[in-house]
Amino acid sequence: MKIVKSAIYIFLFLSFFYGCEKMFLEPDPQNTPEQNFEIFWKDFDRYYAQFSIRHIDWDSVNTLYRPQISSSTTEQELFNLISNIVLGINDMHIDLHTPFGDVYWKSKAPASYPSKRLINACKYIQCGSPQNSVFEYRPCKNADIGYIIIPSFNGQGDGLTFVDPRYLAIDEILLQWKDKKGIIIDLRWNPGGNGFNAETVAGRFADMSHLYAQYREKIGPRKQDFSQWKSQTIDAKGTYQFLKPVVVLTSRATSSSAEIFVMAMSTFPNVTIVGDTTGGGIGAPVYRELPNGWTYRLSTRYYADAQQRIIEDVGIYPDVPVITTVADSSNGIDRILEKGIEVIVNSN
Amino acid sequence: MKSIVGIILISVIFGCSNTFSQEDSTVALFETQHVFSLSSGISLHTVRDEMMSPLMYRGTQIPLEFSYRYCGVSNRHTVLFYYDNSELNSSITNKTIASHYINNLNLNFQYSFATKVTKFEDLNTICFIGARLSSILNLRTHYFLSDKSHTSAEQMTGLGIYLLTETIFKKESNDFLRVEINIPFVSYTVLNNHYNANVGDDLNDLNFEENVLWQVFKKGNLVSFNKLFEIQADISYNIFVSSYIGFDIRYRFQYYSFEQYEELFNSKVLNNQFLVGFMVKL
Repeated sequence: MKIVKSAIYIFLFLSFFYGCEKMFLEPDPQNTPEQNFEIFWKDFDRYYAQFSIRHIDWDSVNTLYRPQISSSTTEQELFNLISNIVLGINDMHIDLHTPFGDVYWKSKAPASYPSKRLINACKYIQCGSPQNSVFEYRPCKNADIGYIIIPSFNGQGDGLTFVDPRYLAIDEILLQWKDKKGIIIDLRWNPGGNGFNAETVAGRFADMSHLYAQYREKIGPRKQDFSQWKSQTIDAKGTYQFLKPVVVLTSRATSSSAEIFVMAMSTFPNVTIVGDTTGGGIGAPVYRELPNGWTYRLSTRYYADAQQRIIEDVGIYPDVPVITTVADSSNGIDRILEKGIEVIVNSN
Repeated sequence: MKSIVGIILISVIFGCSNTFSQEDSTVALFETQHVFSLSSGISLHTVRDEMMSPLMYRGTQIPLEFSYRYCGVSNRHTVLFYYDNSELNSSITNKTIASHYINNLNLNFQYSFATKVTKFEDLNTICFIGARLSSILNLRTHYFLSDKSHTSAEQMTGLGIYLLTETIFKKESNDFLRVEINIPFVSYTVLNNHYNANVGDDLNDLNFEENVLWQVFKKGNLVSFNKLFEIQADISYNIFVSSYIGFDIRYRFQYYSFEQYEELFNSKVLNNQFLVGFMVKL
């Protein structure tokens, strides 16, 4: 009898505490088409920072699309509808991930761009395999110039060190090349990644501290809830800084953290930006999700350069504009790289 | 929630004023003891962090806890370290290609001091009141897509009102039931004004080439119930099988909630633990 009594007490005790979750935490929002759309729309309304820059009336999006959704709306129909909204905004930091497919922005890189990342590489630089997991670096042929491709700024440090330590290999490369006449950094196909990695590399070319970017961020749920302009500075980093002529090659595919890098580098007196205008999307995105399991990103900031010229949707205009066409590519000519080499040779 | 806090505080103050007015008993239930305990069991960790997701994330884990308790004639000192590392999942985890799961590291340090305030002879119960210094770190890595992760954390170090009762069921026995409640009334936290995963005053001007945890920790603020509500309740039963060796069976309920940004985006964390400990008494 005593055992039965004890068992009842234990059962009641456990039931009480199991019920605690319901007492302290509200249930998840329902997985219905209306609720999913509501959360999606509200997330953008609260967090997205670039409506006015991109001339989007977000209330009208709700007015237009909300009546098209009911409890009988299928997942496929909801996907089609939200995809249209995402593509309509066309911000590189807005994407949607669903079982029906992933939706990304339409890149500003024109179809006339050559499809190969390196055109006739062995004509301009010494051939060889990549020497580092984040940098490909080789000397140029016929000129005492170093050439580095940074394919992306992806990667994160372990734990709470946000910079990927692989990017610290730049110190070793620059020490190795300290007697070169200059360095070309090729970011033409760099879609971005971790902005801290970009700053880490850029700091190795800084002569001193420079203000290089300014941004405003969404700091509250109302449309006008923006921070004051905040400044981003780049400081000299590492034990050695390369202060001889440097050229950064850009294209419309150079985006996000790669644009952070370009903005930072463009404030240094020894750096020239050569190529095409960059992609125009920095934004500091956050991830959000819906009760149906779809995930999406959206930008919470908008960026401007040191002179407060907006970069979002516009891009960074190069110091020396050059385009390599498909015809150039077919003939084995990389006009942007040739111009970069020329800039360094002429500056010595 | 604020009304619950109010009721608890009023009860504590009222209870204290009553107990202190009673005749102080000098009868000790136990002789002076040093008790070391190593415990493990199961913890159920539940998080709703509206800043990151509208969904609730849960996970179970095998925690590890070490504690030292000094039981004096009329006071108690306890030092405790707790660790668990759980994977938290929601209703959508593993249902889509872009599933979100959380790796949650939970570290807890506590030092409690309590002094005897009264004894209920009929119930074989001694009541203690004191204070607890508790420090909690919940470090969460949110994995959204295969190569995308985001780190978030709460770190709070609080000073709280600590209540303890010890009840013996059989005379001349060392076995007893212990009930503990702690409610921090002032805490040093780094939770202030965080609007979304990127935007918070505490995230400015950090050196991201170095570990950011300590840098962020230095930017904390003192808060009270207006920003953070925290409670921990423990119910444990101690059975001694010999003069030196015993077992501790414990249920712990820990809950805290705070607002991220001006009455928006609440974060709530609930942790239920069932622990069995091996005790050595010296």
